[in-house]
This record gives sequence, C-alpha cells and structure tokens, in this order.
Amino acid sequence: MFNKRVILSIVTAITFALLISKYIDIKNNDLLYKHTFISKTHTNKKYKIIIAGDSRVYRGISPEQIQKILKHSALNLGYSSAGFEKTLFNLINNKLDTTSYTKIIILGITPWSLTPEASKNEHLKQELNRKREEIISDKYFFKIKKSFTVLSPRLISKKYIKKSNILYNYQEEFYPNGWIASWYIVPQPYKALPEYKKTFKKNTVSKKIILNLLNQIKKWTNNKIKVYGFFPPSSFDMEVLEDNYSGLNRKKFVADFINAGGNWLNVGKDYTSYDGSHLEKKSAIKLSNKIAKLILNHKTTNYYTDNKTEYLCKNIKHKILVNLSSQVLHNKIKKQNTTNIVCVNNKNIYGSLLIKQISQLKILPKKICITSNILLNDTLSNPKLIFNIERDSILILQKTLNLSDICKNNKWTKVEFSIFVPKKIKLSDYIKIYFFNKSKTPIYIKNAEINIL
Amino acid sequence: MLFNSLIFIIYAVIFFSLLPIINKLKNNYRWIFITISSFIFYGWWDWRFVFLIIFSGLIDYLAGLYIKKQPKYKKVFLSLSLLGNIGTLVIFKYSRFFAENFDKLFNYFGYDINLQNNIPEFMMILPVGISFYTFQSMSYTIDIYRGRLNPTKNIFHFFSYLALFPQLVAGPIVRAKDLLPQLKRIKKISSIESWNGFKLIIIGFFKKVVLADNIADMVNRAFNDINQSQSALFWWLAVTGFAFQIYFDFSGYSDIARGLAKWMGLNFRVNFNHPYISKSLREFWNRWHISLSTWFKDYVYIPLGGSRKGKIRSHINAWITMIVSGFWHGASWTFVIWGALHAFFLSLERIIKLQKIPVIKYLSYLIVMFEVLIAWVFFRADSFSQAILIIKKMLSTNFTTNFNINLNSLFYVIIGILIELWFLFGINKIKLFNKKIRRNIDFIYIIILIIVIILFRGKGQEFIYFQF
Repeated sequence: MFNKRVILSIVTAITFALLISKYIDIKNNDLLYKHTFISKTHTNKKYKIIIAGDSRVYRGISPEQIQKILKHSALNLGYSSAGFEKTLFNLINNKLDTTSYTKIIILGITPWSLTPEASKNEHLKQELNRKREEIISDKYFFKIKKSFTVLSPRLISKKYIKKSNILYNYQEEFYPNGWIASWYIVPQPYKALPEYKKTFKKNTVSKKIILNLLNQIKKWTNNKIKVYGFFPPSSFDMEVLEDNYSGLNRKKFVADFINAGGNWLNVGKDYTSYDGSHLEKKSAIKLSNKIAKLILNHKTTNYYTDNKTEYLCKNIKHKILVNLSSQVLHNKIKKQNTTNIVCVNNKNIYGSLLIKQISQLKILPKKICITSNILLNDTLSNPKLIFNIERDSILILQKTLNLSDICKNNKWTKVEFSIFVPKKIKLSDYIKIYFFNKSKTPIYIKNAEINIL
Repeated sequence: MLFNSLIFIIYAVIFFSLLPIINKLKNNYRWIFITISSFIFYGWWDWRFVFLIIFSGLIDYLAGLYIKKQPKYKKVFLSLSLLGNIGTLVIFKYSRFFAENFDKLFNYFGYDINLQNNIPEFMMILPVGISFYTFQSMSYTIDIYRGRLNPTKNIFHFFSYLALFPQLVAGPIVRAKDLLPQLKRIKKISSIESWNGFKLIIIGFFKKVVLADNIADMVNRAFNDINQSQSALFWWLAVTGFAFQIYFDFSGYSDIARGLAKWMGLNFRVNFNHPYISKSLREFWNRWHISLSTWFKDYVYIPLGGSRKGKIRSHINAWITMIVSGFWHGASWTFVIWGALHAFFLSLERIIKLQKIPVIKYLSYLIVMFEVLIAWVFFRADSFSQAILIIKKMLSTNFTTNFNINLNSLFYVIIGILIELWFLFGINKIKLFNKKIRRNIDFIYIIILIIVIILFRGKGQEFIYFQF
C-alpha cells in the first residue's frame, strides 16, 4: 500500500484537486446542507430560545437576528416536512437550556406540520439516526471536505462555455444556528402549490396531533417556559390552498393555542415567497426581526387575524383593465353575457389577456400581477395561465400557473398571479399573458386585471 | 463499512500498516488478525450480523471436518451444511416473500392465515451480503464432499477465508480451493503488484463514485415516477442508464475488492469483462459477474445434468439455473422473471442460432443489448406491473423528445458507452510507446482519475449489490 508511486500520485492529485477547487470556487451545497443539520441536531450546546417547525421555519427564521434583538442564544430546529410530535418535542427539550431564567420556544405552525404524514418526521429521524462516524466525520473533516468542490459537466459548460454567471437558479446560504437563507434568482411563486395540493388530498390536519401539541404546550408553560406560536407566511395562493384543502381552522387553532398557555404572534403577511411556500432571504430577515420585536415588546395577540389581502399587489404604477371583447388583443375569447369564455370549440386554444411590447408599457416593469375571477367546469382538464417574455420570438422566461391547483370545480375563484420580471428585460421584449387549455371545457373569466409595478 | 466512506479509508490505512508486521509472525496470528479485522468491517453495519456469519461459518467448518473424518455420513453432514446455509437465507432473505405469497394463496382459497404480520421482527432485517457469504460457505463443504478440497483444521484459517473483508459483502465469490492455499502463503508484495492493486482500486472508485453514482440520479428519477414520460426514447435512455449504473457499481466494487486483495498478496479472478460488448447472451454470461455464473454452473447446472442428458434436458437445466440465479438476487417475482427472461433468450439463441445468419451477425451486439435491457427492466422495477408498463412504453412508437432527463447523468452514460467501445475496437491493445513512457502515462492517468474522483464525485450511494 505504501508504495512511493502510490503516495506520490495521491499527494499530487489532492494538491491539484485543491488548486482547481480554489480556482473554480463553487460551493458544495449538499455538503453544507448536511453539515447544517448535523450541527444543529447533534450539538451539545444548550440554547435559551428554540425555534421549531418545518422547512418554512428553517428557511424563514434567522436565529442570528432574533439573538441580536433579544440578546439570548437561539437555535433553529426546523426540519423538512417536520410535524409536531414526540420526536420533535424531545429534541426541543434536549436543546433548551432549562437552567436559564429565560426559556423561550417559538413554534412556526403550518397546516402540514399538523398532519399524520408530517408526524412521521422522516427528515428529523434521519438526522437523529445518523451514524456516529458521520457525525465525527462532519465535526472534524468538514473543513477539509469543504475545500474540495463538486463539479458536473453541466456546471462546467455553464461557467466556461456559456460564460454564465448564474449557475443555479436556486440560491442558498447556510448559517451556523440552523437557518438556510434561500431564494430563486428568477422566482417561481407557484412552484410549490401542486405538490401541496396533492399531499393534502389524502393527508389533512389531525385533531389528535393538535391535541398532543396543546398538551405539550401546557407542559412547557407549567415548567415556566414561554411558548410562542405563529403561522409562517408563505403566499396568498398557498394560504388559499391550505385553507381549502388542509382542514385547519386557523381561528379555532389560535384560540386553543392561547388557552393551552401559549402566546400568539401576528406576524402579518407583507413578505415575499420565492416558490409559493418559503420566504426569500430578505423576507426571512424581516420576519425574524418582527418576531423578536413582538416578543421583546410583549405584543402578542389573543385572536387570529386573517390578513391575506396584505399579499396583494401594492404600489401599482400602471394598470391595464383587460377588455376581453377586443379582438385585436384577445383572439379566440368569446363573450357570453357578463362572463368570458376561453376555449370552446377547438383544441389547444389560446386565450390571450395581453400581448405587448415592453416599450408600449412606458415603464420597465419589476413585477406584474394578474387578478381575475375564474370558474372552471372541469379542473381535470388542467388549464393554465401562462406568462411569457419573448425576445426576437425566443422564449426567455415562462411562468405557468396551473388553475386547477387553485380553482374548485364550478366555483368562482379569485386568482392572483404575480411574476417578478427579470432585471435584464429590454424595451424590445414582448410580454404575453394567456390562457392555455388542451380540452374543450370552457374557462369563464370575470374582472380580469393586470397590474404593473 | 462502505468502501466509499471516510471511515473505510481510516480502517484500510490501519489494516495495511499493521499487516506487514503481522505477516512476520506465524500464520495463525495473521489469520486471527484478518478474521477480527473482517468482523470489525462487517460489524460496522450492525454488530449483530457478526453472530450470523459466525453461526453460518461454524456449521460449515464443522461439517467440512466431519465429512472428511466420517465419510460414511458425509451426505448427512453435507445436508446439515446446506440446510444451515439455505435455512439462514430463507429466514433472513425470503421469509417475507414466502409469507406474502402463502397469504395470497390461502386467501384465494378463503383462508386468512396472515403470516406476514406474524413474522418475528429479527427476520425482517436483511444482513448485508448474506447471499454472497452463504454461497461461498456452501461451496466449501460441497468441494470437500466431492473430494476436491481438504478441510482446514484451523478455525481462523477458515474464517479468514469466509469473512475476508474485501469480498465479504458483494463478492467476487471466491472458492475455498483458490483462496485457502493463498492465505497460507506469506507473499511479499512487489512494488509493481502494489501499484497494480492501487490502479484497480482507483479504477473501481472511478466506476462507482463518478460513473455509477452520477448516473443514479437519472435512473432513480425515471423509476420513481414512471408516468413522467410516455416517450420510448426516454425509457430506452433510462434503462440504458440503469444498465450502465449497475455495471459500473458492481464491477467498481469488484475492482476495489481485487485491488485490496492484491495489497494483501491475494489474487482474485476477474469478475467483469466488459459484458456489454458481447455478441451473444451466452458470451454476456461469460463476461458478467463471472464468479457467480461459474458458481451456478458448477453447483447447479452441472449437478442437474448440464448438457449431458440431451438437448431438451439441457434447456430445462439452463432455465432452472437462471431462475434460481434470479431468485438469488432478490426475494421478488421481478427477479425470478429477470432470470426466466434470460433463460428464454438463451434458449432462443441456441435454437435459432442467430449469429450464423450473415446480416444478423453484425447486429448481434445490438440484439444482445436489446435482450439485456428488456430484462434489466424487471430487475430494477418495483413491481411486475411497473415493469410491464415501462416495457410497453419502450416498445411504443412514441419517439417524442419532449421530456426532462438529467443531462449530467446522460453525459456519464455516454462516457460509459465510449469506454466499452474503446474495448470493443481493441484500442486498449494498441501500444504506441515503449515501456518507460507507458509507465509514466500510467502514472499521469491515475493522477487524473483521482482528481476526477475528488471533483466529479456523485452523491454517495450504497453499492447496489449489497442488498443481495
């Protein structure tokens, strides 16, 4: 084994690999992700503030910001798809400094975290069951491992052939106390919706899980631990979806939470989600500051405030009232009394709301919000509202909203579709907003409005 | 302990640092050292597994001794050994399968016996590599019974053969008559042997960590959601991806095992010899998992009569061997069908003699690939119905290219295909330079491979064959 050539080849290769890694400088997010979770799960340190919940918590709350304001050590115990059950409670108890005078638990409660699927706590258990060698290896060899980047042919082609500065749309920053700041360079505000809708079909909020959580809150408060709860903000459409499908009665839940001894925080909704579920970095900092300040100033609430409207567009600079009867802009949209029907007789019909060159809008848009009341006869036909930006007839951005994720059969639903327009947009680019429907089932539209910010 | 883990690197450094010192002592100490080290290696997964291998090994060790001592009762001792080994396999590997199928059978006749829910919990754990070491252990007693091998009297000599860590969990299945004598000799390892062993280890890691692990993503995504594409092209790519993933995963493991063995002064035979450049399915089986196919040939096919009892019987024997081989791979009907499909294609090949038809002769590589890929679908699919659906898609005329496939993974599949073509056209045999230059090129080639392993490593995954 200890042949000269063998050792020389290993040393040479490692040196070159190190130099290449240093030169290329691409973060190994998988390694950093693993390290973040191993560190927070297996740390021996105790904290005065514990923040717990699912991915909306570990992506949406910065313990560092809370520490700054409350002046106490804080740890984010958020895990993917986590649920409030025994395993998470035990971990919270284990990490909380019970000897301290200040003992605070902040629970980020999502409808998902109260479902039976979530209470399986697969991610949390996977972290807890990590082999000793993995934990030791992470503790002592993380820095060495971090020095070696991980490349792929695609990354190399992007960086050196296409000379692109953006290697991934998904950006993540990892912080020591469990927060993962995340955002998309090009936001996809509806990305998470279909998956949530699918999972809520067979998996809704369980009364038993809520009861166990309330009992646990009682135990904590009896032990002089202050328990705070809040609903982590996501997006307007996500909350509509969760209210329609999850089976959670937010008002009743908040009342029960307060009765159990907990304190409720009304964090508002003025935040931005990059995928419809998780908050982008700036919003996460804003939320963390808000939580800390509410706790510091004892500004808890004793009722639930549904302020979904805060998600709606603000500071509208330009408004287009869509005239659906105009044949020039809205081909193949037929009018029927007060409502408009898209896609009646033909296959693959497009019903356009807007086709305009940016120069015609007179401003460079940053965000475009489309609001409309929509009625579907058949959600299974999977109709879509599509937003395109085209340059020289080439598609440079496409965002799609699956209407069946939001609308219920034969029920008028207010649909909000907002898109962040990339900074690189040019005046010569075209914006197209249209409905796409493969089936012959009509889509009814009322009060369609496009707001340009 | 996984070969592709940091803990194994530490383990290997300690083991190979101590080995030269231990080699200076008596054989007995060396065997004890190898046995204990191998038990640590195996027990790292779960320490309870060590008791199973000790139990299984003790039966064969004693059976071997008594077969030799009391030849009158040799059949009894052989039966005990087979019962012990097959019994262990049935309990730990097949109990759930049998329970499930008995439940279904009795349910059909209106009885609810509910065997599945009554299986003791310990039987639900599948010890890593159980199929490999039970087969290795069985071959030991069978060879003694047949008079081809003398049993070893030293229990540590026996266990250093049975539990030898490089090949313990995923082969190659080494015969006692090959390995026991090698373990007796203390061989000084030359620098060339040491370098060759290192080369094998690096090539093995490249196959596993770079090729197999990077291809895995594309294959897993395809098989996790089979409704994502109806395109035949998508499914041919996904199944080809799996063919190369399993090949590089398994042959990578074998190469690492052979390299480690070389460092111990031992020689394992080649286990994979570029199977995807075979002109017939028969040739494929002479190139794929050679240690297992020869095991089945020697201990199942030939004892059944082989091809000595007429054509029809030889076909039947081949079918039995292939089906048993399929069942050896996993306790599921999909594996049985995988074996049966290979048997069917082998029989077809023998009957039609496609290779003798001039036009088809040149298409033979593609025909073999087609047969192998169709069979791999059953090997990889979660269920029979999933496999049928995928095959239907593969054989459809929908050749749309409107699908999402991981281009990174596809890149590594293409690399895999190019490597095999390299060997198909014999480019590897062309020697342009003299020995000295070749030695230097070899050195640079290994350095490049290590750099590629470090920088292009895929997400660490377990070796596929551990589950068998």
